[in-house]
Amino acid sequence: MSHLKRICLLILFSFLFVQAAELKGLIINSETSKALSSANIYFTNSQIGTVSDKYGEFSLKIPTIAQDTLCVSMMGYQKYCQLIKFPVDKDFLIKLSPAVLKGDDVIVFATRIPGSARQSSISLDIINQDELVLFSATDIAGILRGLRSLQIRDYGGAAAMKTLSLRGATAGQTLIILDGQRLNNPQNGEVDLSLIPLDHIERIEVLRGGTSALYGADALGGVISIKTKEAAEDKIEFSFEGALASFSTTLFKGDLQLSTNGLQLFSSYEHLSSQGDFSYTNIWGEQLIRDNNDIVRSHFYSKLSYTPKNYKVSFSLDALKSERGAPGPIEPYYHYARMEDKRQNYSLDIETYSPDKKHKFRSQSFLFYSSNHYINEDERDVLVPINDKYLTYSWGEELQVLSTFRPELILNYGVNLRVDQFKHQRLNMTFKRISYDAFIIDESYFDFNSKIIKSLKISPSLRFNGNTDFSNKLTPKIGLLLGLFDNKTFAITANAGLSYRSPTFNDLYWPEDSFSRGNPDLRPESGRDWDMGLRLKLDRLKLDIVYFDQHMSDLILWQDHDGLWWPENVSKARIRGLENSLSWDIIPEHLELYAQYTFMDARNLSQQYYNKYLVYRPLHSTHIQLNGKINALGLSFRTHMESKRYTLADNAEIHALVPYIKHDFSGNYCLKTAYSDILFKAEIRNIFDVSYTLLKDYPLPGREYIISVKFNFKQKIQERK
Amino acid sequence: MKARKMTVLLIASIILLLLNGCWIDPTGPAAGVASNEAVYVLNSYSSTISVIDVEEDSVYNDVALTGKWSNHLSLYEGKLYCVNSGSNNISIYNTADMKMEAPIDLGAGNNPMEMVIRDDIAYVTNLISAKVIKIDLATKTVIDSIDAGVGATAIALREDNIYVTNSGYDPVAYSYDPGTVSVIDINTEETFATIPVALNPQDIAVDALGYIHVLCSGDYYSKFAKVLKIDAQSNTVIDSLCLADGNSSGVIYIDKLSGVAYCGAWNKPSLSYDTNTMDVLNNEFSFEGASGFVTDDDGNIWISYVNLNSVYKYDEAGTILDSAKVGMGPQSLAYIKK
Repeated sequence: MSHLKRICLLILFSFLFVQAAELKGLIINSETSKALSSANIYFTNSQIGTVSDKYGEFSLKIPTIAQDTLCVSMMGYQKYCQLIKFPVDKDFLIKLSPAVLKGDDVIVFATRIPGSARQSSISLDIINQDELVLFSATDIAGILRGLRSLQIRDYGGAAAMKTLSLRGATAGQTLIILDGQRLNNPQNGEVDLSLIPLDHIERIEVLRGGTSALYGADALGGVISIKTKEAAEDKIEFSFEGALASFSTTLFKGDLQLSTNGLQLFSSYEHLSSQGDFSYTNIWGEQLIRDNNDIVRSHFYSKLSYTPKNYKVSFSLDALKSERGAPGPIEPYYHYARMEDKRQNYSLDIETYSPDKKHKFRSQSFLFYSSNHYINEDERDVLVPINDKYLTYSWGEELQVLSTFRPELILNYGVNLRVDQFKHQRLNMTFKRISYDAFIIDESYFDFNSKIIKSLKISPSLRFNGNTDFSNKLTPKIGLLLGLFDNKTFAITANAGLSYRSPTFNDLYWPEDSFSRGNPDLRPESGRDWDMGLRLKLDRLKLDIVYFDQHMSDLILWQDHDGLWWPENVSKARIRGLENSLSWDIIPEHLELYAQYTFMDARNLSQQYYNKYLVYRPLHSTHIQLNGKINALGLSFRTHMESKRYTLADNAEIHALVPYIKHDFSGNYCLKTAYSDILFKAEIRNIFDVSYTLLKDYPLPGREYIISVKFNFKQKIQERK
Repeated sequence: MKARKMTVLLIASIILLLLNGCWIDPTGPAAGVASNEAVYVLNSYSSTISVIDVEEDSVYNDVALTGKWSNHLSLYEGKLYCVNSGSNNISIYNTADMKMEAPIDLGAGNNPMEMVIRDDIAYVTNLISAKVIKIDLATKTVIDSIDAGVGATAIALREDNIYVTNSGYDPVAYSYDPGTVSVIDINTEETFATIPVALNPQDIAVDALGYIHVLCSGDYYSKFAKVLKIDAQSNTVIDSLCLADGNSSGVIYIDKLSGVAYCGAWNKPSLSYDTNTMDVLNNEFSFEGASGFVTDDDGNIWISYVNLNSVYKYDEAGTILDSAKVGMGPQSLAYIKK
């Protein structure tokens, strides 16, 4: 062969080699033909992988072996795999079919590494948009009732404060976050659920068990993660809803969604007004009216997102104002006390990917302001007039990275800086706390080819929590998920970890007066917990059983010292129980049953009240829900039961709240037209007008009616091909 | 597949049913009791009344509910009366069965503290309104109110006069005006004497010879408790006893038979003294935190401890004879022997 021929062959061979070095393709939705970005594409054997770009395109280095299986996976879509022999001489067009996400297949984000609920070892519940729409609640408390191990503490009526207890932990020991930002007030550690309306909420995820390894302080009982709505792609949609309810309650809400050319806008507004007066019977047998129980609440939310190539920038504003009566307990009754709450929350989120798409970076900056103003200057109520305003400012930054080294190995890690400042306006006292954290969360997934053990997922996580007020804390957690038989049928879960709760500003710095003061030497409350569960899924039947055990120590209790009250780390508790849930899709798309039963044995281990039941924790609670759907008509029947609850530390029987069973019924009808949907809803709560209370000396209204109409208009702007 | 589904459902149902079957609540509320000889205990923190049946040597806890911030018990003709500061009323119980009758409403804004009873008429001090409210117990109606001093707290009855301690506490400034004792004729309803006493008079008692003993608690951090003895004829202070440094006693009780007075403090052991000589007999008679005293017909002393949730029985020498766990925050005690 001549030299020239050899050179030409070499050049041709090189050209061919270069041509065959990369595999290129396009990922689209099989139903809409729309390009899909951020899909994971990888070779299973050679473990080479990448992520599709904004236009759905990808480019993957070809392995040196003769053949490999190319897989594409993306949340919300069925996994696609194809055996490919090399070399390849064409680009690939891969069509992914949307998965019908229901139950365990729904993606959960609160675990920090997104994945299906079925793939998480943590005991969790997800309430998605479909379920949120069906409820006629005025705040998030109405949505959370009935979940396993979750009790709502309702102070009575639409205007009244509502808090929650998760796995027996107090309100201050359960973390509530909104798009990753904590809502727990550093002043008292709690969140008033009556100030969280529903107009802007897309979904709610409830994670049970100590979760400080993921989110830091105040997550002893678990985390309630609220995710806000975003505009759906390429459409304009607006809706408005009006509702009338008992006790002169009116509710109006509207929202606008606009998405085009990479720009998305979601805005919502809600206005609630309620007179709130209802009748009740006091301990002396007198029939009275619960007056000064009114509320006017307005909420505005807006999120603007822009998605240029490889970036997503979002700015959101959340603003709430509420003015309401504050009657307090039935004795002493405050007929003239008023409370005003204001809240503003600004957040800037920036997301981007590394060039190889394996690493997702996220920066979240936030600025939060809230004020709580309590006034009672009427001498008919109080001897000494009260006019106290408390201001809370928080700001901070979180940087986190989600690294997908392989689909079976994902890491989430980051750092967090937060400043909380609290001001008591009347006393002109200001307190400040700086918190700084670093965390790492791992998910490793192993497949096994045995008859019984099919897969193992290990989720270790670790967080360092530093701050300027008290000692630093290291909070580890580990989760295990063992898939047995065919993975989908049977799984065993286990979790164990350490958590803590920060002493609040009230605990640390309560201004000294004749009766009380704070204690700046307080330590955080500590918790160590573990749980073990069983998941069984057979066709349309699903059973979930979890045993949990939590030990709490250094619990903060306000104690009497020679007539002066101040808090100390003196108490201990142990809470253990069994969470059971049963879901049965009796007739798919038409009739489904959900039942949960929680047994919770919560004990006080302090010296004075050793082994007494902790207050307000029922030993038994059950919730049963039957949902039916016939064409456009939906019906739901709900029953909720709680056993006796003690209200005093010494478990005095005479003060115990009696067991109760309450029934609710709701119906909805959806009328679809060419451009709009009209949803009619009606609900009766406490059908049989059962008299019950959730907190001593705070009566609840009886039977309530709610009717509402929602108009929803939507229009597609354009469709990408 | 169907058989497997049904098996799972059956197992799940059995588990849920079994666990639901454990819906057995612990013991129900305590029943009412009828006792021939009993000590009644006011559990202020839990707003309940416990009954120690002395005859049967049994304790019945939380047999009745009281109102909010219950303060004081009084026994009169087979009925137990409880002063409820937060509820602004007097709750009434029949000692035969401890069933509660309709309360006597005193009106909002009074903050009633203690009461004494004579000939079906009760006299109740009120902290906020600075009055003594007069009640006809037969008709359960308020018939009059008499002006007292700022911070009217404790009350004692001697012959036709009531003696009211006025603490002088100013809740706005967190300070005390000088303490006084108002002397009121129950027939004319006139205050005919106002006796200056020491800082913060919190309690009062009458000894067997008719002298008035006023316990002034001080300001709890720099001025401490002392007892002033008043001659009821001249309405002047004739003697005094300074309790130990750091002692902020708030409760005084006199056993008329033995002539011994007992002072209870949050922060110190109880102290006993001779009401005739004003000499201390025992400055560590019992534990610290004594909040209520009563003597029985055998001369035993019953003491409640607010922080121990207990009542102890002592002999005259201070030897513990018995104890009982009661409700939360026991304070005022009352004794009956039928």
